[in-house]
Amino acid sequence: MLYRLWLLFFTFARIAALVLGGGLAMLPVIEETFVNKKKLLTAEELLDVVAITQTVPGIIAANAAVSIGMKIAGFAGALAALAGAVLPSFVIILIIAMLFPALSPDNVYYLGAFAGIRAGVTGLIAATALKIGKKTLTGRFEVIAAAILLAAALYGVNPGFIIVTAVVSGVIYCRICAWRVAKAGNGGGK
Amino acid sequence: MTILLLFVNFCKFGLLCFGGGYMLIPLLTAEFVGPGKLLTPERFGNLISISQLTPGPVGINTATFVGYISGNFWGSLAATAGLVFPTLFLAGLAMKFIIRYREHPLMKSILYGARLGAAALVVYAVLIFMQLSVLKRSGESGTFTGVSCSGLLIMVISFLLVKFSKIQTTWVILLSGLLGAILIPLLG
Repeated sequence: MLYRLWLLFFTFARIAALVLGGGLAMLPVIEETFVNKKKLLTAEELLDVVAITQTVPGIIAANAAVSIGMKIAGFAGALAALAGAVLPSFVIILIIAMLFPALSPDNVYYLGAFAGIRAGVTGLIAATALKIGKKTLTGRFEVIAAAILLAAALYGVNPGFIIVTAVVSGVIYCRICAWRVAKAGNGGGK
Repeated sequence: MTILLLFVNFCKFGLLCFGGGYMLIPLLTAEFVGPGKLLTPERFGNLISISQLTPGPVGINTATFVGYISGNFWGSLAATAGLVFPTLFLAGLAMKFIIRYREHPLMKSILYGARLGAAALVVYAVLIFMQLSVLKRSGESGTFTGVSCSGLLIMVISFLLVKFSKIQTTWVILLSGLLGAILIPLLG
């Protein structure tokens, strides 16, 4: 248990210290640690976490830390993960804020390094998205629904609203499927 | 502003920011920026760009920064703690609820839909990040002026590395930063 708490704290601290931009940029590191290596989450549960982070208000990184922590080690896990996600930023910004008048963000190498990290993270998320896509988009309904939802996101619809719409359409679709199966079953009986 | 008031204020922001840290900017502007308030628009602009250029969640960075300006160390602690305080309960409860009713048919169909939406949003995130790293923009208006060769190259390298080798993401990220510091000043 103590090991899990430490793993949660350390992983989220690593994510927060390294990943630029926050939000879904942290997904590849979460996937690597908790899904692939430690097997504490399944790929489906990772998507549940994404859905929660986008629907519940608050900082996405904090939402992800709390929901994953809760899943793996209960409330203590949520606290440990959240503390990890917050601590590096807190320390770094505190130092910057103390030096703020002297510091300028205009150095070309500094800017270049961060632009490079952003590009690298793009590649990482693309790899994660590919894997998630293969798992999730298994049929015609799934592909069409995801394409419509993606188009809505690109059009500027709020992510929370997209998840809610997806939930409603998923429930309706499952009802229709169940009804069809029942009907086919009855028909076969006669 | 007292420390307690700062905490309560940021709790409110934590409850109001749907869709992540970027929603903080308009909320903070209304509360802290303007004549007779804590920050001038220029200073606030600098603070936001530093928060975006520094690793870590943008929302946490911004809250720590604004908190420090209004109340030094304890101010930054109060602001950051306030911002994530509601999350601890909301996201925690949501996850607990999912775990408890995982086997219920209705919950299964809810998760089925939610996962489709989440997958769509992950693809959306890829496109947004490509826009930020591969396309070049100029000026305040942010009109696109071309493709950044080095950005594209770094993106492809990191994608191939993580897809076809066992290398840790930490090293991919550090390598991307190093490549960026060398290539971007040279090639743009």
